[in-house]
Amino acid sequence: MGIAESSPDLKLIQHDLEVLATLSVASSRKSPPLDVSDWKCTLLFYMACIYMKALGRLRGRDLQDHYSIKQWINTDVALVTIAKSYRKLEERSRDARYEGRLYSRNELDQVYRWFCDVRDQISGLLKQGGVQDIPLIDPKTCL
Amino acid sequence: MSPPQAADVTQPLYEKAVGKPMQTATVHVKSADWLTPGAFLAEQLARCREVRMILERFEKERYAVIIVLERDPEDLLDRIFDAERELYTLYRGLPFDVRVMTPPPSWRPDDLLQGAFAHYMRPEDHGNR
Repeated sequence: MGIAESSPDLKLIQHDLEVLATLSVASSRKSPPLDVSDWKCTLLFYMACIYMKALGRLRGRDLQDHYSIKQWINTDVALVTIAKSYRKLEERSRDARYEGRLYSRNELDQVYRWFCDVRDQISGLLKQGGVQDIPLIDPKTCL
Repeated sequence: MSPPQAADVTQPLYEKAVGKPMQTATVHVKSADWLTPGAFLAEQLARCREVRMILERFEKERYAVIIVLERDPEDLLDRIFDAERELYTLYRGLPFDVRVMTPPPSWRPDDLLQGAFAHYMRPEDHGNR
């Protein structure tokens, strides 16, 4: 169960990366350039979130909302190593959406690092679970 | 001379009644057994100077704890999320959500305080209640 089902999630992550790249280019072409660091952060969080959903599907776990993910990531031995990175990313994304917070270069670098923690751990677990052809997602150049 | 302590008074009465010395023992009660998640987090974090307030309230389907920060340096976030992980062990079965927000300086807590009770609040925010 699950391998084929993880595929739509992985495609969605690729789509989000394209959206991020498009947003990054379009905002830089504005004069003066538009600060879209809030949405960059938010897209990174949603990509991390979809990685979690992909693993959830592989393991037959129905993740209906953010609370289920938070509970899972804080209690599963294989996931606690990335719990803090995921939660830091999530709360920065919430600040972006609800508080209109914009981020500095250094803060975006932090956000990128937290995203990579989640991506690397989940990609490894997906691979261990038999998922093939996991796309390499690196949003570094879009930030 | 200091007034007699409770044990000083009780001990001879106990010994007379029971016929043997009173045994005393210290029982360690884990504080979280007596605290709500918000109070537990307040105990863990209240001395962190970047913390402006820690509030708790009931929302539709869960217990919400809101931690308002002035700044969110990574070491503080790590500390908060370490404590959050403990909550999942200590309050197994209780649906809760921890929100860590770092609003702009102009932010005022009025809306957030509707229906909330505060476990920790800086003195400078008292006037905004």
